Amino acid sequence: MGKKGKMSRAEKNEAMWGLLFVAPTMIGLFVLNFYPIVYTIYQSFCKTGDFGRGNVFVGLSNYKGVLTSSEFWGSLVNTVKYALIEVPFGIALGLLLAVFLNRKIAFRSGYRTIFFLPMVAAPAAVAMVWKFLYNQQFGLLNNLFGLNIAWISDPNIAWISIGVIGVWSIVGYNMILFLSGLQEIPHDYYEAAMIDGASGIQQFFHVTVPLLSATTFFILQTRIIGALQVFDLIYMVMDTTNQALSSVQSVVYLFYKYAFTNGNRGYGAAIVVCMLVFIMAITFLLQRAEKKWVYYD
Amino acid sequence: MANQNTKSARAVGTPMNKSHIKPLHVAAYLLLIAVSVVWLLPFVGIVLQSFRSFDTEYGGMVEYLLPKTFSLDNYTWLLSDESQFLRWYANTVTIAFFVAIGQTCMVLMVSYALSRMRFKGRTLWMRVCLVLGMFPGFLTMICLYFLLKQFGLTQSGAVPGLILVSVASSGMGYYVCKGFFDTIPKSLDEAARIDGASRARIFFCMITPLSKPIIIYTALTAFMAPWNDYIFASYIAFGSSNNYNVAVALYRWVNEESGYFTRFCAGGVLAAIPVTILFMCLQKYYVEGVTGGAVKG
Repeated sequence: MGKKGKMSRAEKNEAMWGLLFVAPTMIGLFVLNFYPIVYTIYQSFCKTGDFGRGNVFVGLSNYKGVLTSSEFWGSLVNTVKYALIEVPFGIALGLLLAVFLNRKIAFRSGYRTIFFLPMVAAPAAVAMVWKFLYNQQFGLLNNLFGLNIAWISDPNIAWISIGVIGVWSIVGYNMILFLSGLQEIPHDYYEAAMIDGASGIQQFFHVTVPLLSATTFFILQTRIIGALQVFDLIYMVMDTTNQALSSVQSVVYLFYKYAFTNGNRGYGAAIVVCMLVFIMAITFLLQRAEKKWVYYD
Repeated sequence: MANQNTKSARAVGTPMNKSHIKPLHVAAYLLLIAVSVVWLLPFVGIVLQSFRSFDTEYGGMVEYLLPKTFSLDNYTWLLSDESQFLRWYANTVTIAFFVAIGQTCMVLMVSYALSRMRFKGRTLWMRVCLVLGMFPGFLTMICLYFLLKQFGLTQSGAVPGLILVSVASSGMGYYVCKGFFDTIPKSLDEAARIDGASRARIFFCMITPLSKPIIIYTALTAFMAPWNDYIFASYIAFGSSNNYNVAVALYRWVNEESGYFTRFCAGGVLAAIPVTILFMCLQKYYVEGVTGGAVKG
């Protein structure tokens, strides 16, 4: 940091270039992020007319509507249920695969690519393929195992089916992050553990897991926040006529339905702001938990 | 530093010893193979279906996986003038190309400035980015559409509109890249300065070659994202089929025209090819890029 008082010419020059480098992003951020966020929050207090014009200030009535509707609370429960499948299973499987793929084994990069494929495939394609797999009449799952299960239209099963797609999609990404975390662990620790006679499994639980806690926490945090915003998947896999929709639809799905399909942007904005408060609360709790759980060396 | 760590870890080899844990090794292979099969199944499904002849068999979903006759009908149809597929493909490639270049420049500029230069408001700016980054993307969606519409960047202007939105505030995602720059010792810069190198020369001849993994990581993630962009893309290009990207077009196809399932599968395969190849070639850098950056807690 520069000293207090007058800056030297070189420092001034540096400061100017620094500001110049961040200026485009700053402008973009202000126009395309900050302003829309503020405007959306403002809109949540309004009854909106067509074409985004004619906002009439109505105070908290949108919020009253949102917070007293069982639809909103139901969708929040659905979202949390989805996160409870995607996050833990995605992390556990991602870690396991990363540990195996961190060694020199045949076809290593092939495996990595396979697990990462869902991340690179277009979500529309992913959704359609799973729709095909889950299809009660033609679906591969029912045909392969001789079942007759309504995977995505039975309200009791549908949320699990959606969660499975979520895990399938995200494992590759978690795996890559874990792989990078694993490569940061010094080799000496494993040697020391081996000299003390620790088995592979013991090494995993007493060396790998604690030393990966920072990575794990990073993934946990980003995935929880990501999972709470699930939308595309549900939107594409669940038809609007699907009878299980109400037991699967997420908060963002509800927002989309009101703000765009029904054109009630004020109400939609209120849903989003409620969700934002929820996500912020979760983030706050996670930050506090970080100090307790994470081991930094 | 991180970069060197990665390399040495790799050179030393694997954390676990071969002779010690034979059964675990076998288990690892079995698990990897089992998971790979499950992960590949949907893709195998989509590829097989894409070869089902459109002329002799029904084009919708059927209960068998293996086509009765293999043909390239669907592909030749996609590439013919009858479908707009090539147009959509070109749209997506255009978006991905410009987003990759634009985002990489923006991210490098911001990261370099934040890592190497000291200027007024630097820490405040970083904090603002951190907070804005926490806001879910869909919060801005309502307003963003109307903003873009005023500039004529929706419907027929959807392609530049999408590029603008993806590039404008992308500098916000500087964490990974700045983390990487921070690991390059500042004394290197100073030595070069003393030798009379200009700032630009330091950046292009010293920092850039050292940062190859992170630059590739940034460009690759930026290039991949537009292929998967569905919800905002569909909203912006709404009703203007010339300006769809592949994901939007394919999804609309399946929902609006029954019996297009095999054609859709072929389109999905073609869309996945460039990104998959890119990822396969560059995955080494991808892992290294993540390693060097943010995930250190």
